[in-house]
Order: sequence, then C-alpha cells, then structure tokens
Amino acid sequence: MSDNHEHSHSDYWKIYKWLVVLFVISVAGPWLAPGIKVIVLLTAFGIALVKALLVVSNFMHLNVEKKFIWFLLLACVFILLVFFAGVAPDVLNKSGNNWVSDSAAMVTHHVKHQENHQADPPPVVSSVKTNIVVTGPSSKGEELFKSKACFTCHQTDPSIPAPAGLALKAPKFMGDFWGKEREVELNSDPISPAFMPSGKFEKVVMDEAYVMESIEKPNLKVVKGAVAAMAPLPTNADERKALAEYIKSLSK
Amino acid sequence: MPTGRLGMWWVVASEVVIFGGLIMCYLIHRLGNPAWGDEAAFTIVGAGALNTFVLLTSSYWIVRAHKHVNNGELEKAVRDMYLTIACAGIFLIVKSYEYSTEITELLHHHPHPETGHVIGTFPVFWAFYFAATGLHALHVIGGAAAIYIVLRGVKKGENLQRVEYAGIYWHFVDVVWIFLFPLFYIAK
Repeated sequence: MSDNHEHSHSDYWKIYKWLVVLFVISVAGPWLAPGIKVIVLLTAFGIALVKALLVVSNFMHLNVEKKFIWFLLLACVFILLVFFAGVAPDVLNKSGNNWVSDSAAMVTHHVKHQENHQADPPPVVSSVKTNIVVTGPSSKGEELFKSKACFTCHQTDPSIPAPAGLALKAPKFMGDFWGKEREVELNSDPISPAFMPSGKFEKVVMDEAYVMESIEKPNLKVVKGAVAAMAPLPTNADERKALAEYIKSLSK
Repeated sequence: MPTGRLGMWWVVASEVVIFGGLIMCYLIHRLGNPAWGDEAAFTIVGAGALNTFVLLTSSYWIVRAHKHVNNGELEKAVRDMYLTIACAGIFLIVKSYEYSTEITELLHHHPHPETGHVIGTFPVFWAFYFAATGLHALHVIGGAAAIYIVLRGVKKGENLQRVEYAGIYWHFVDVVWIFLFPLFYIAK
C-alpha cells in the first residue's frame, strides 16, 4: 500500500454496500424489464463496468497506485479493442463477393422459424438457391419441404450437401428408401417432446404413417445414430400428408 | 513500489489479455448469432447471481484482511482470509451444481419450458460458456490455494506483504466474474 493514504474499515464497508446495491440493480433491471433491450444492456453491462471500476480503484487501490500501472492495464485493454475492431467486421460478415455463410443463414432462419411458425421463405443459401431456381416448387409437399427448411438437415440431392444434417446425422432422403425398414430408438417417455434415450430399438417401415408421425413427434422414434435435434414441426394433417407424398417421390 | 506488487500487476495485465481475448471472441460471435440468446436462457440466473454476491463478499473479506495486516492484527487477518477461502468454496459448489444441471440437459436435448428451444442446438455457445467459466473456476481454485499458502505465513508472522498481492489477484478474479455474469446469464 502506498504510504500517502489510509483506508479505514468503514471506507471498505461503504464500497461493499455500494457494490451490493449495484449488484441488486443489475439483476433486478433485466428481471423487471425483460423485453427492453436498452434497460437490460444498461443495467447489466453498464453496472458491471461501474462495479469493476469500484473494485479496481478501491479494493485493488489503483486510485492511489502509480500511474504506470494504469498505463499497463489500459494498454492491455486497448490491445483487446484493436483485436475486436480488426476481427469483428470479417467474422460478422455473412456474405461476400463469392461466398455466403451457410451456417449463419441456417441460424438466422432458425430464429425466424421460432418467432413465426407460419410458412416463411428459407434463407437464400448459395447452394440451395440454384436448386430453387432450376426446379422450382412443383407440388405442395415440395413447397413445404423448402419453406419449413427441412432441406437444411435432410439431404435430398447428392450434389447439394446439407451441412447441418451432416453434423446431426439426419436421415437423408436419397436413393431407394421408401417402404424400406430402418432401425429406430424409442423414446423412454412417449409423451415428452424431447428425446430421452431408452436403449430400446425397433424396426419401422419408412411409409406414410411413419413419416407423418415423425413430422408431428420427431422424437418418438429416432433413427439409430442420428442426433435427436428436430423440433416438432407445426403442421396440420393435410400438410403432413403432402410432405410424406413429396418425400415418397424422392425415392428412386 | 515493491517488486512483489509490480509483479502481481504484470500478472493481472496478462490475465486481462487472456480473459479479454476469450470474452472478445465470444462477443464477436454472440453479436453475429442473436439466436444464442435461446441457449443463454438455459443458464441458471439465480445460481449466477448468488455466485456474483459470494465473490463480491469474498473481495470485501480479503481487502479487510489486508487492512488488519497493516494494523498488525494478524489473528483477524487470518480469520478474514479463511472467510475468503470459504466464499471460494461456496462459489465452486454452486458452479458444480450448475455444470451438472447443464450437462444433464445437454445430454438429453431438453426443450426450454417457455421457448421450446432445444438446448444444444448451437453448441458453440456452450463451448464458450464452459471455456470461460471453467477457466475462471480454475482461477478461483488457484486463488484460494494461494491465499491459503499466504495465510500459513501470516500465522507465523512471515511475508505479511503477500496478503496484499494475493488480494490484488483475488479482486481480479472477482472483476472477471462481474463481466462473465451479464455476458452468459443476463443477456438473452
């Protein structure tokens, strides 16, 4: 501690009380006004900054420390800002002259999908764009398959990869698959929308009934080896039937 | 300025870049992926808030220990350092509870009760979460161990200046958590 200052216990207690008050506000703010972004950001991050400064200056005694230490710490913070400024513009970019970020497009679409369960045009991903332009939707099922973004996971064309499906090992709708048997793992809790592995396997036939059931309750019978990542698709029976018809037409 | 304190400030400065780099990377990706907010909804705000309070309190104990040492009241200083270590213990227990809860939910692909969002859809969020809070927890363990070693010296009346250095490190660990808390728990 420098020689020219003396904190008393009551000083530390006062600072501590302030820290606790600020902490309560930083939790209460976002809790009371959850939807209001400005309040959440101000109370959470603005107060975090004030709290950090209080601790650094009073508990770490930076307020009476040699100026050199300030310089040292601020130089490090400055390096971080340079890092952010240099890297963020590229990382945050979702498309450029000759490229489009497929994963970013999928993420953006996922949000839209959750906010609005109605049919909603899929993100224009470079590879998918050609598919839409060349073939164009010819049936209701095909249209749904695209608008509900099924194609982001379930690959239908050997020349158009579905990166998200690759990662999740989602079943592909390619080749001669219709009417064929596949092994599925049963959900240990049949009424749960989430998948709880039961370790019990069963053979099911890939037919209209199974496809329609899987659109409504994707986690009831999960194809062996696949990640149970599909959310129940908000559809009515007609739409599910149309989707099943389209998927059947993909089998060759 | 004593060499020990200068050295500790250099340690803190390098730690600023270690945690800061991680936080900056997270910020960049978080800004680019608003959907990660659905994953953040799975972190346990109550537990995070409790831990924030516990670390703030521990910061108060260790600065008091420093004060007691300056006044020559070594027994009180030792007591306050034990309280600091106890706070570190509480922090780690709460953190373990959080980790086990979150890992269980991730393994079972639980949907969120309100949003219906299935946990783990964007696994990179969890990679950042476990990397940042895990690295921080290691610092808590290391800090508590260091404070204990210093405490043993204080009992014998040796190396009293170390209380301040351990304190500076401990406050830094607190400051890091002050930022991790809103980043991973509050912002959704």
